[in-house]
Amino acid sequence: MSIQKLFSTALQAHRTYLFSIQAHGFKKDVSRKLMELYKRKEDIEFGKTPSPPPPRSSYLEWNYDAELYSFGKRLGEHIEPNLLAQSLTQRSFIVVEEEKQKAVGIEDPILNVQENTPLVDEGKSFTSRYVKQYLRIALPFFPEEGIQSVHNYLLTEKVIANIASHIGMNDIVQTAEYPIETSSLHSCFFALVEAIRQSNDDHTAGNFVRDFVLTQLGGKNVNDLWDIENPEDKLNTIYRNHGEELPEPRLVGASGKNTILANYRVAFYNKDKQMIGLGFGESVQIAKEMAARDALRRLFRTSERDAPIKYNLDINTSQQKKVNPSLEEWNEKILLQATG
Amino acid sequence: MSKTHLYLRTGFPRAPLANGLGRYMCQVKRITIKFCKSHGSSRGVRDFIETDMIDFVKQNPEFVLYLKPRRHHSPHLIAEYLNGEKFHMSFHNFNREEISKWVNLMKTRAGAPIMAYRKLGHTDNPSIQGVWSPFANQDTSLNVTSFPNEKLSRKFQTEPTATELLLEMFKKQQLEDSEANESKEEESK
Amino acid sequence: MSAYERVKQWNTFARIWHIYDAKWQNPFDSAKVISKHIQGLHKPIYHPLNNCGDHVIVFNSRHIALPGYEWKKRAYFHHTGYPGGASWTLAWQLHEINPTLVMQKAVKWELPRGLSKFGLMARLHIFPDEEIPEELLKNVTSQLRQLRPVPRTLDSYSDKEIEEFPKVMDYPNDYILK
Repeated sequence: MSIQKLFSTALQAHRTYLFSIQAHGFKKDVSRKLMELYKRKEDIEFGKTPSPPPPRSSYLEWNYDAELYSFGKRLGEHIEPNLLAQSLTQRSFIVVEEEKQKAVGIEDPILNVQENTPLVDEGKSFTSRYVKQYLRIALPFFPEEGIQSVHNYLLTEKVIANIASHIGMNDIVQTAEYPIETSSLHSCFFALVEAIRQSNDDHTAGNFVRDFVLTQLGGKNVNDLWDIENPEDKLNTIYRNHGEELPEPRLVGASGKNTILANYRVAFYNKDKQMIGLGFGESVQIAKEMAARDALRRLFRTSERDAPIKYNLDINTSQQKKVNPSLEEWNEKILLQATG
Repeated sequence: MSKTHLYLRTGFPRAPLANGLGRYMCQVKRITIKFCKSHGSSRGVRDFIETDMIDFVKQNPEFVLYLKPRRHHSPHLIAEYLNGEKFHMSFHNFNREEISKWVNLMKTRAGAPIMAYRKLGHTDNPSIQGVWSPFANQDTSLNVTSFPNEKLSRKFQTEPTATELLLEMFKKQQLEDSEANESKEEESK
Repeated sequence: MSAYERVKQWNTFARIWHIYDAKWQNPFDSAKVISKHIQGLHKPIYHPLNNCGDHVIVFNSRHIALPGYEWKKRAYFHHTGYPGGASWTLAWQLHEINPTLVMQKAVKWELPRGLSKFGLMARLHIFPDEEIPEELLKNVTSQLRQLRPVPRTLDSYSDKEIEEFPKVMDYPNDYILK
């Protein structure tokens, strides 16, 4: 028997009791207790998940046009009102609205907004192009496979949905489902980028993508987003490309060899006996692998001691920047000549 | 738990969604002011609405300001932030200046809850020279020494011992003697 | 935590094994240095909850040198807990029974009082002579310096060195040594 049924009779009984002015000494706390239990009826303790709060648009204090206007102002971009409304409307919403109107009796459903589907693909491709372009310029020594991996990470549903919800799109996006799903936020964000691009120009939209999407790399290590298999082989490939002798690994330190907390340090040295990479680990193999990875990071200028990515570069998307070299063809001397 | 408050949570300052790393964005989504049209506790709010509110709203188009008149209710402010947090406070018997100050504060805040900050800053790159390890600044020759090692064990000698001084004096004496002998031999020749 | 961050953490909190020769050293002064290394106070990452102390192997504890009349007069108190169970053992007597105990107790007195003492004492390895197990010696990567200089004994000088050593004075040939 559910709690509602348990207390419904008591509630009803007490409601009359409460409103009865003639009743003497009525207990104030009883109604409050029952109201609290009614609120708790979907508590986890009874095996049910709590229902989500009501959508913000269902409140009395809600003005959709004002919300859209302030949304545009908050982003600091000029966006055409029609385009903005379109970019935030999903197809599912249009379908539901049409069905509602048909149910009422309107043959040709009239809607003020269009769906954002034509904007989504355009926005996605623009964002993808811009992100890749920016990464190639910000990280000129990073191989193309790495840039592809970082780009794939930045454009995942989770990351984009997180950005979208922190901009304030949660309440404004019009979809059929509630609570809003990450896929909807994902599509609407790209539609928004396209809306900005069409209202202004490529440069403005690019700056928007830079300020919101690329800054997600803020606390992240770019090397963690790209998994290199066999870093030793890759290091040797690069040195062969340079035409130099292959680097040699050496044990540089070991503590507590016979204990479970053993720590080994391995460093790679080039032909001039200069250290090019240092790694540590709980076994010699792990330390060697980490040393190779460190050597690669130093070559690609993405180690901890290198300057972090700049988030204030101005990119011209019309300019075609050449694709960064892949790992197999990576050559430091050519890159140094190119960057000057 | 903090020194001043038993129930005040502690934390570290973080900007939501790297605000400021790219562009700065006002973190308020909407502010709702609930007040009564007639009760005395809402007088300050009513004064604020009649005088300062319009300029405030014109200068700050980044968020929506809702006014909700509710009969027989004390005035309240609810600010909703971009990270989903809600801030709620009472404006009961506040005057006009206080209310405008509080509303301005809401605009400049982010949605982080009130907490005692353990650090007053945040950095993504805390270490420039690299994190310390017990091997840092150690001479690499330690890798190839076998322990126990006599030289590394001996105490650092700051002054020569009496025995060493004696030996030095002796050697010096021997040198002087040998030189004297040589000069004598030359003279005799 | 990525693999890189994991090994960085592992490297920072690595435990180092130190070795210390206690021959002719004052155990109470040495204990101050040893206790510092065992607690991890010599590291910039020190915190009592960090568990960042290092291991110290002390050898030649049979040959420690107590100052002044300590051997004769320092008494170690012990009570079994039963009535009449009090005992006072002098330092030289204790040293005969177990040549590592004087050093061990000296270090124990330098460590902070509390439950962490047990974990910290487990990081101290004392050996009476120069015989140290191979598996422990393999772990060692650092040596702690002695606090007092160890002078050469007369036995360590060869006959040739004695002959060549500069003499300030010498006994006359017919002098008879008692």
